[in-house]
Amino acid sequence: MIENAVGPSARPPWWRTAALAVAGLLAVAACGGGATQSGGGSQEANGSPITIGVLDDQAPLTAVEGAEMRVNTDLAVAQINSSGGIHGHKVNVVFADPQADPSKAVALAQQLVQQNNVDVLVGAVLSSECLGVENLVARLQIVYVSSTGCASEDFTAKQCNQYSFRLTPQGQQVNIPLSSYIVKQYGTKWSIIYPDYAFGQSQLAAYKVGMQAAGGALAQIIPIPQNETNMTPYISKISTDGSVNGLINTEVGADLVRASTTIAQFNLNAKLPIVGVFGKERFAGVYPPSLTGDIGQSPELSDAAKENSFDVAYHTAFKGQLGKEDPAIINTLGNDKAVPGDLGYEAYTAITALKLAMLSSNFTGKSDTSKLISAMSKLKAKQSADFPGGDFQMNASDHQGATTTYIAKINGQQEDVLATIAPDKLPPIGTCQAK
Amino acid sequence: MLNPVLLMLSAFAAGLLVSMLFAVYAVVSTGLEYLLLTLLTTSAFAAVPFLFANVTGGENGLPVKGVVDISFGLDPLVGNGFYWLLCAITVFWCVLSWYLLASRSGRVMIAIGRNPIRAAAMGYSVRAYQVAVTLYSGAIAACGGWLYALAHAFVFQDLLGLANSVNFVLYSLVGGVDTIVGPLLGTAGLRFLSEYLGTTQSTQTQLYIGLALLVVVYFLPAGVVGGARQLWHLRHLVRSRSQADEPLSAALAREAGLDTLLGGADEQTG
Repeated sequence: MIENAVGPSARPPWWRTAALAVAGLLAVAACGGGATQSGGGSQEANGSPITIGVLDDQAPLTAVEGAEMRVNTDLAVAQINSSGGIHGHKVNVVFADPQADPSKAVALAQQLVQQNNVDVLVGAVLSSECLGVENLVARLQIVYVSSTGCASEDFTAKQCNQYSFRLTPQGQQVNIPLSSYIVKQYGTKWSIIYPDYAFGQSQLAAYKVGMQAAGGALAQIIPIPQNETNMTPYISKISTDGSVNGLINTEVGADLVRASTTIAQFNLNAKLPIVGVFGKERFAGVYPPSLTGDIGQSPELSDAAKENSFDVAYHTAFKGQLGKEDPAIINTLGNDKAVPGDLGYEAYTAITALKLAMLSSNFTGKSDTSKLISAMSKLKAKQSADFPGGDFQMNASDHQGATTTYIAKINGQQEDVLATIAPDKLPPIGTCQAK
Repeated sequence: MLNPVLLMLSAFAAGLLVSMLFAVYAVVSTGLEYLLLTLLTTSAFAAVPFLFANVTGGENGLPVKGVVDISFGLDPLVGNGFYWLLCAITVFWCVLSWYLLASRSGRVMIAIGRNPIRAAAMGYSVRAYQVAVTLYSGAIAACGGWLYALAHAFVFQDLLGLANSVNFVLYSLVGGVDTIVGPLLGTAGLRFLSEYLGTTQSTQTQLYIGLALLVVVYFLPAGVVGGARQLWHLRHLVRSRSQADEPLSAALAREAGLDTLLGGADEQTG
């Protein structure tokens, strides 16, 4: 009968289950440990260490960004420690992997600050992760510097606060100069293909603003569903009858590879200038032939600029650091073909910028946060070993950085620089006041 | 400033409103059809923030303003007060669920879960109970969402959709679905594992979590609590057999609930 099936005899006394749960939780808690720490080797730095918490996503979605962040953060920290640390204070890094999950990013950020007692937070790749952490650090009152990724304009255009900083130009800062260049060089009417979800829609909106500012227009807008395996119906719509002067491609990941391949199949590269895709690190260090002719913008070229000794040294050091990393990371970045690119450069300069600000503010720990904020807000650097790609300056009002950026054209495995834009020529990203 | 009680009630109202839709599914469909309807509806809800990105923040998410005020003055980042509130609310739902399951209605619900046709033949209104259980679980989920927003002061689009929903099912399966404490234990264990690996492994976090899930599914099909309960029964049987000088196989055949563990006799359900 039903009573037999669900009666008390079918279940043990409640206290047994509760005791088991408590024992399990205690066992789980007892197994708790610290986080992965790395600090490079140094015999010179002997003050109390400064600890940087780094949210480094290692999920498949953010594999390249996460790998670049790991290698370049390790590299920058090793260089700091080998040169004596921050006024004798060694720098330690605590890595945490939110797995491209914004809620985990916020939880881990809180854990890093309140349990691992880090002095500064860095990283998180997805915009939603960065915005969540940015919201948190204002309450935790700790400095946060975004690293690789974090492309949302909102980070410094709408949600800025005194504790958060971003070094690399994003959104309108990139799209307006690039749009100006391509409108001036090729014409005013452009076709755009974009992934039809939030990221792609934000790209579309940014290019509309950029085109409007440059006196051009998006004459043909083609949304492509995410993970579309058959690109032909969409790519074949792109006008080649002279009604548009070029194509803007904002696809990413596997969609980008499929779109680029289909573009090459239709021989559009020969008929139209194509804009948007750039950086060998996104292709394991080797551009596919279908990208030849594409034009992009970046603060760091894929290969070291030979006339720039700082950049050559940075790329050499990157290769050296790569050999010390996890094999999975090395493989993700393309083994001996790996390059830092702009994704790695963002991570490297996030740490070197912190180093410069810590040195100038005599930062020794979290208690010096206000001094570090002041130093970061005023940070300005010429091209150097800390900023090998070019000059840098921080906007004190919204904490958005600006760097020298290059507009370049992919030519096989080479990148031909078409124009160089100084940091002070980049437009502001908004009017947010970091308070 | 928002009234915290009003906010709490609004969260519950929203949760109940959504769960009413799922209650309708429970009435009009069963089995695979019900599963598909709920999964597809969950996927559809995940896209809603994109439709109103100006209000919801879209992919970027939405900060919760004045979180201390709407948390009854308890700051999740300062002291333990907020976590005592979480603890009290969790205990409240556990005790209420234990009470309901122990009641006559609760036993009917369990019976319906095991064999709805037989329960209907006995005169119970299966649909009414299914609607009630759906609304009750909707209220718990709404409470969880409300507390999440207070705890993190930020809500993300990623919280909606299949990935997060599947997580809750996994947590319950790992802990054991036949008990109140099982899902709690599964959630604590898997969340801890995920965050612990996230701070110790370089690139293989998801692989290790996947392996851990496989181990549980293979070796503890009734979940951790279910497996522990079965071991407890086995120990009890071994002791009673030694006292009664009865062969173990005979004792096992007598005992209901051990068939999964031993691959033996069918469950005796009366």
